[in-house]
Amino acid sequence: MIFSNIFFMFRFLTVVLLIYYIVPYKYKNGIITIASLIFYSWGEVKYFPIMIASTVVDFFSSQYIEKNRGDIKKMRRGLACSVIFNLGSLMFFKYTDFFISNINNFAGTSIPLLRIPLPLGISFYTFQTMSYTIDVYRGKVPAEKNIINFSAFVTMFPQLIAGPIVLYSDINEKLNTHEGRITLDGINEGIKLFIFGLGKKVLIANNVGALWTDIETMGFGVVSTPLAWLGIIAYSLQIYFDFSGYSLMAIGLGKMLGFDFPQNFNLPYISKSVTEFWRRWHMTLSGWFREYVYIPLGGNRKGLKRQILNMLVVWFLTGFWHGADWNFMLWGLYYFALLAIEKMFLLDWLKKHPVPARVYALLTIAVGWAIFYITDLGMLGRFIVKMFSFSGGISAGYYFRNYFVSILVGILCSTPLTIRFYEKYKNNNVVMIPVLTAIFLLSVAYLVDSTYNPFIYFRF
Amino acid sequence: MKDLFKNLKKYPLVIYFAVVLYGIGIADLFSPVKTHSELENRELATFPKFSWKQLFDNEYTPQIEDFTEDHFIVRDKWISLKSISESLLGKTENNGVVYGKDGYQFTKFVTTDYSQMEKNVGYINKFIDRHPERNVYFLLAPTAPGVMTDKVTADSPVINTDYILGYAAENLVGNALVDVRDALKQHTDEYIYYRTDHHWTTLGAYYGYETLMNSLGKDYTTIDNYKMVDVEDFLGTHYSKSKTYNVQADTLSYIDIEADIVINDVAAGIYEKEKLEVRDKYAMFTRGNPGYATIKGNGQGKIMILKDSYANCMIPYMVADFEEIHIFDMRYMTMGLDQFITEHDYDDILFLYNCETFLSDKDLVKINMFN
Repeated sequence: MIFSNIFFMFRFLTVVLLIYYIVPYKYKNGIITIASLIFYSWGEVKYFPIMIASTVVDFFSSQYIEKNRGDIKKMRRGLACSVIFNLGSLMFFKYTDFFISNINNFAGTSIPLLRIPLPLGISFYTFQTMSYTIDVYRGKVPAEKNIINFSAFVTMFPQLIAGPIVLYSDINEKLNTHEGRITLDGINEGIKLFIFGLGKKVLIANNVGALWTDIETMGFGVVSTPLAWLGIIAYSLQIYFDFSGYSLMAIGLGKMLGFDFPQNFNLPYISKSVTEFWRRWHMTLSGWFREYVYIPLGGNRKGLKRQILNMLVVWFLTGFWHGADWNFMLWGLYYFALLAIEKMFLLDWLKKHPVPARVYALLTIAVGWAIFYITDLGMLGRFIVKMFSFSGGISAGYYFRNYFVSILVGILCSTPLTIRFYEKYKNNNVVMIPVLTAIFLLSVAYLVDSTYNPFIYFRF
Repeated sequence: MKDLFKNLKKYPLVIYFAVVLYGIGIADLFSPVKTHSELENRELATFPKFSWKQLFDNEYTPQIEDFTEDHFIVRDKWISLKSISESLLGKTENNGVVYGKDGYQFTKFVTTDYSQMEKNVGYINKFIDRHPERNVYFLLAPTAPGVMTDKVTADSPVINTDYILGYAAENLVGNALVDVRDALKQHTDEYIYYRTDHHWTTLGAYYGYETLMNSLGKDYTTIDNYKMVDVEDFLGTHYSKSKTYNVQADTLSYIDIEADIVINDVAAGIYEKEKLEVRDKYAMFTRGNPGYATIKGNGQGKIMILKDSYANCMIPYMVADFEEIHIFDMRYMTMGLDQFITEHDYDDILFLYNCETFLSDKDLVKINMFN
């Protein structure tokens, strides 16, 4: 199930919230678990056991670590159990076929592919549960004593399939708080965030995204240079509004349930460097890699050479995390190269020249999205040549007329204007209620006649 | 919990959206379930019967979502709201339909994959080669974007009928191709294509018919011998997809003749006039698309027609000029055509397709099968 869906909003959410608010506090985490398991099984009933296994393995490994605190050998055993299980299932489900097909390509063998569908959200929840065990091992958080509370953390439907990546330490207090978890303030804010997120996804992302799909249908190599640019702008807006809209809906739903999830996007397209972009884009993922990979490897504390190597590892993994294909690795390495160059000398120059810095950042990010999307490397090459060669092909005229307004709206909403509007009027119901009503009703209208409502993280 | 409710009046936004969400949700539960959408001219989803197999194949739950969307309260109003919003955003397309000038709507084509079309030309060539003793014709009708070029906005992603007709002219064996482009283009100021439907009008079909009969070398009854009957408020297949809030309805016409069409040994009127009362008015011609049907006419010669629905509104003109008309829709054919040809000894064999069907038709392969 996805949030931007009539059934989710008017059937699932209404029923779940009603039950959740009515039952006594001691049952609320149980209700979250049951609702989340239904939510998860709705899309992929076969993988219900994985969800259960994930909960049980991490719960007991952490218990084991907690019980044997001080006995480093046993603690490590508990940690290994969790990490091997999580990384193992991620490797198995997500990467096996990629390795098999590459072995087949290089060695000329014909090992059959497994062709198992990727469990929904596996990249998100394996990271989440793994970080919990690591935090228990490090003594940062106490192990959760109640398996129902823990399963509510693992399965919690708002963030289950597309993030943000919520750490146990983000919500453990609220999970164990009974009185006062749910506040009208929280519900009030949650409604606003959910509707803004819904609008971002349905009204902006879906609206501009159809352009990119058309270009894919005609073939990335046959478009004219202006259409190639129009397309990559549309896709850049689509992936931002889709992903950040989805995160915002998740944060809003979290607030309605009484939890504060971390912020995941902070106006990434106003960045003046790639370094800054990655502090504003999918912040919980970059935070995760920093906390659990980069810093343990030594971060920047062991000299520049070692730091660059650590960055290489992190960005290779970040790329590969996004999908099991060469282009995702290339995408990760592309960002590694840019970040390394910025770290070594470019960043200082960019700081002094804000206008070229913005142009540079947007340009490199746009090229990055082309690498990210186009899995066929030959096709990717042709598209990038199109972008920079000023050549003819299918004209942009029709698409420009059709998407000009939507793209303009998208660009305006990528600037701090929306945040300023929200900060100014968030407690002014005379403004807020009509605006939210319009966004909500229009979104419902687009969902009822949904000709284009994709779920674009299926490879994550 | 009590405190929660006591403070609720400080949060009008919460009360308001609770009422909106639950109000719409509950009203939707009690709104009547329709089986057919007049607006979209299609059957709506039915509530799925539970099956474990479908559940495990991830096919069951999407059907529930479809059902909820299809039967959502005041669905048609939501659709109009979206259409208005799209129009404000300057969008000139929806759901695979591109808008032209003066209310014209066209099928959207972004792809330029002609492989199926090339195969189809090959199938017809093979058929012609197998029947050297017969007169075989192929009327490949351009669809509206190829003729009403003034109505197409610049650079619109619509079909390139000239390319398809050019390919057919070059690659068809003999002189089989009946090219009706010029005949139609002389009449672009007349009402020869529907605005909201993918078919040509009964008048457009007549101009095609003139060219066809000249190619066949046969005399024909001219249009001034017929009385035209007009039916207002025709909303066609394009509109069923685009659902534009500001649509200009079409007028459907038919020549006032009496004839019977025999489908599955049952004779009935060539026009199914009950269809004029519903959305799908074009289905009145030849009573829809029967797999095989015969019509007795008042003229000379037997003609076999292998066709798509573009033929349906032309066939009434043939009643006066042919003795027997046998029509075949290859989608439903499971028998070889050669036995029909031998048995009935047709004087003429006509393929009649429009360019859009012909581009992607996957049933023409059957014209050389089952023999």
